[in-house]
Amino acid sequence: MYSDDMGHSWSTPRQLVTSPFLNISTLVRGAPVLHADGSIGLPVYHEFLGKFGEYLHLDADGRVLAKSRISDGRFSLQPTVVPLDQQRAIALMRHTGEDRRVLASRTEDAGRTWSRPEVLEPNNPDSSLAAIATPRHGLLVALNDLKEGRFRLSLYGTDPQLQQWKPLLDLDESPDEDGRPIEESSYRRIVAEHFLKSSGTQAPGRLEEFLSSIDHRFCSKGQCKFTYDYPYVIRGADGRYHLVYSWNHSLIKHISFNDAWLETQL
Amino acid sequence: MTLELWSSQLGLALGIFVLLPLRNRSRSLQLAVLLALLALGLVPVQGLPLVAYPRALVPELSIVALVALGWVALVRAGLAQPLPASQRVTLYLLFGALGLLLYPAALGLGPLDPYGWGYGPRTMLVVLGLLALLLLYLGHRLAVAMLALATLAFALGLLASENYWDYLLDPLVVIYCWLALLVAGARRLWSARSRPLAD
Repeated sequence: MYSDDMGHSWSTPRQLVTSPFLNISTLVRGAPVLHADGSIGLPVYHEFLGKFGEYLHLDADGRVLAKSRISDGRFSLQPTVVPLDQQRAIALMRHTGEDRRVLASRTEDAGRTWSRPEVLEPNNPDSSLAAIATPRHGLLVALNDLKEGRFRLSLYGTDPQLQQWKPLLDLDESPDEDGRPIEESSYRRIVAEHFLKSSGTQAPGRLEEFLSSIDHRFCSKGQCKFTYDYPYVIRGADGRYHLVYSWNHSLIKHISFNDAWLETQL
Repeated sequence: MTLELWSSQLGLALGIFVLLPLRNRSRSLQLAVLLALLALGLVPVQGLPLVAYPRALVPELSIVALVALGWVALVRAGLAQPLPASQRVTLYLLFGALGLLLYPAALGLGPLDPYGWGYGPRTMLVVLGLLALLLLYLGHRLAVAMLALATLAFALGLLASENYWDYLLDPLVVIYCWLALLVAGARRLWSARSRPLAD
């Protein structure tokens, strides 16, 4: 479905049929790519018996024109696609296999075919990542560059060959730099501080309700750990970058910056 | 909304109809039951036609499945003769083999994605057209009707899917064909074993 009025109203939804087996398990994580002819490229992934990335090509009305495999098998998920020009693009993927590093695949024919995925330098602890092109024709990538856990989310810059990776900023990180769990009382205090800062004037009255509803999967025997994951990045019409990610599965954090700031970091 | 649900409506009505014990009933009663089942799907329940609820859980049936159910309903009503065993086996082999080509690869076994071929199916149309000519030559008219109606429905965009495969196959068709082939094979093996040895 689509909206022509900034989301105030929406068209009647129409089903996309993208899988032959009961149309199950075509999942969307990455931002769409707008093609020069007005069609849409949508990075998706399949997670049922296999785990692999795909690229759906839709026309401007949302009808499926084609589908191509970015990867196959059972070890790659959640592609984020960065167009380099009208024909070339890079897909970065989460790696669910033994070799826990970021995966990349390339297309040189506007998404019709993709290269075999290659393993890159940064670690990937089976977690999603997000990427976008920069004015210097490189890539900006938000990822957990960790062997295990998701206790630090970082921003990296890299070149189109994906050879040089430069850490730019840690977007968020656990109070313990190795991601070890902290006391539950400290954990609740930090979560409460973030909630009060993020949720406006009504926040104090809703604090207890919020604390009772936070995701307790991260606490065990009075010890809690932090998780920062599922980044998503877009660039607005005004040129500003907008990066959002899940903050401990409790809040969605939004960070915005512009090219001037980015230039100082690259 | 109701028009978009036509295939689910027809599939559900035919599916229930062929399961009901109506074989020896009059044709007028059978027709009345079928019409009642078709009307039942239109009954509004909380603002949606009844058939919309199973449709939310199960995708549309393929055109081949609808033609097969329609054929079985005609046989049950005494309006058509059952297919000879050889023609049934041909249908099982044809759609069972297509399912074997499609499903394992589409679910991620290997780098090829035959399901993707179905979005711009020029090659598929040529191959299945030639296959239909061969089946016509061999006298398998129901198989030819299935392929022709599926192709016509695809050209007219009668299902929600834009993929040719979804007009030809669905899991119900493929699983039925595989099971029927297994049963036919087991019967053949059993009858060969129980045949007395020649002196």
